[in-house]
Amino acid sequence: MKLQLESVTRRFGHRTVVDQVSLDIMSGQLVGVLGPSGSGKTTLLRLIAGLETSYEGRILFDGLDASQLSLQARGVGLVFQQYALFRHMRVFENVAFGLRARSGKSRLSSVEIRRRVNELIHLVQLEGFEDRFPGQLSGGQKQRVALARALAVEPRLLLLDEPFGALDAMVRRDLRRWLRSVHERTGRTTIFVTHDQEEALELADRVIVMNAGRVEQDADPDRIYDDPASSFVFEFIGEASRVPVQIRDGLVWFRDRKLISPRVEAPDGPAVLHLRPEHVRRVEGEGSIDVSVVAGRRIGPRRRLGLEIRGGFGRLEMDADAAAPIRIGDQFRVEITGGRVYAPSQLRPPQ
Amino acid sequence: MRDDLVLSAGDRPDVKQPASGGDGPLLRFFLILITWFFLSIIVLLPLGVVFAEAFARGSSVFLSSLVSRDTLYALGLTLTVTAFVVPANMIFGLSAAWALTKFDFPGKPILLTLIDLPFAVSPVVAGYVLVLVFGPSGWLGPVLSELGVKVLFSTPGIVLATIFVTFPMIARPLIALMESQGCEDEETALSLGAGGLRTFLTVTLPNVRWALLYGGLLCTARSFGEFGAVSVVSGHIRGLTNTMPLHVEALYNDNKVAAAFAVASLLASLAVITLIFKFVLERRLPDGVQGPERLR
Repeated sequence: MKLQLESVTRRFGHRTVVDQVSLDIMSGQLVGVLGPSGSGKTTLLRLIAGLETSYEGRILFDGLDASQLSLQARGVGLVFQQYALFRHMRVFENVAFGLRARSGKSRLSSVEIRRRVNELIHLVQLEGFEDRFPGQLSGGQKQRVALARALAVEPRLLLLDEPFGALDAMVRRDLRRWLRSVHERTGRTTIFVTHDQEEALELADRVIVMNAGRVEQDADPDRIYDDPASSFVFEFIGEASRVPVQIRDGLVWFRDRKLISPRVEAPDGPAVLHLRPEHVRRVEGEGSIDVSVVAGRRIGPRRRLGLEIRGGFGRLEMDADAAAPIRIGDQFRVEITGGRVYAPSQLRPPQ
Repeated sequence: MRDDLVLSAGDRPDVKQPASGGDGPLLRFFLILITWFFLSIIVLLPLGVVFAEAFARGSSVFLSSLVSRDTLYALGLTLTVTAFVVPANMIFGLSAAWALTKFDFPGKPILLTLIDLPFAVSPVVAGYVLVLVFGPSGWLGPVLSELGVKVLFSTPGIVLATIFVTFPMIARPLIALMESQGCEDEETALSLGAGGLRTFLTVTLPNVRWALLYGGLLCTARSFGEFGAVSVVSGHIRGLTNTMPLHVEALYNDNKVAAAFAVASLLASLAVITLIFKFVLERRLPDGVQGPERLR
């Protein structure tokens, strides 16, 4: 299903929670809406689902104005963070709920319902759990039941609100991969909301980063990471450090040293250079910035070092080999191999 | 963000919180002792006295005072009133809880406070309010008597007074429960294509059925025993508007102490039976709805 949003705005009193959001979502896409809490992402999802009905702008389902469609007629499958399973119904009945709610010609025979529910229970790998109550399932199992229940009615659009937010780290990693494979098999247009950048980048084909009700960036995961459209996206995705710099003739200067690698969009004058750990490299001899090591923590195969810029110009981070003989208090020089200086219009107040 | 990840693991509803901390056994013993002591003096002792006095003159006096015409009438009236009050309050409690927890509208906090009013106002005051409204010179009294409807000094007045006194008993626990359950179950049901009525019957009602039954039982016990408000509106007409509690008082004032205690013991038995029913209900919940799942 094709979903279009045209300048959708939602206000609660004087607060604008969703601000002029326009999106085109193509059939079969797996879209992640990413943002900090209060960025309007859940409200956006609720507007699309039809759970919030007062808004400005237009929401179109396959070109049809969704305000004409009742919640039931929209054909959206909803999955919530807290699962919202019907606690007095067994797993089987939960999954069958939408099929049993049908009336008239679209109503299935009980044999058909049984077949369809069993198919879905197989899809979510919960064979043998059909007769359990939700209270007897783990968090991950509950979320899979919720997904099967939503898929049972063959929704045109699948909407997931922080689907893995209540699960522990390992379960959420497994479920993420599994959801990806379910999406590849069913090809259903899917939108999920998350505050976890890792989840958004790993799971989605397309990531929409939201901040203060607005879309900051709408791109594929590679672009979101490699080419953040604003300082907000830069800092929200991955690790980021800031270094005070001067722009002169379109070049970046840190004190009396010229940095040639960063991309510059700012006019001449004082500015902020945004850096990721991978943009900082230790060099012997001549380097751009003198630093001393103040912290180190292990991240996967590498060690992330906290570096203080000597002279009191703030802090940086860089990655080093875990085995490298570096101690707290060591002093050396680093070279800058990337980073970005945003134009004032692309700067957002830090969180 | 990292904090969120860590927190969410312990936050899961299916993880049981450990029981109370490591308070000393002495303190525990002491607290349990105090509780039993007070319950004995305030609840068990009077209850025992009621039954002892009821049988003080032998079981024949006990039985004959129970089967007297006025007593049987009072019993019938009390049951009739309860039969109107409990369903009315269930419907009211459900609508109020539904409105207050599933919708947002101006004036919500005021409505929430008003629901608690009967707990704060003396039942006698409530009774007099009804007299002011429905009495011969009240706001509605003349109009209604013109239409031939008698509210005061008859069953409708007693029902109204009892409803007033008991209406928070069902609404309150429902509001608390529905508040904590949120609307996501209903939203899911609607998105799956269920209509409003189907959603209510298959999702909302089952989600609150235990709270509804629990409140209903409390409301029943209170309806049996309501004295103050009913006393004001009933007019104490023996064999016509005397409920059981009023009948107990009337007998006692006539110096028929044994009969008074016999009726009182019957009233107490009704309350005890209701509470036993509630106790059994709490112990025998079906497998799927236990512990945190039920409260959520």
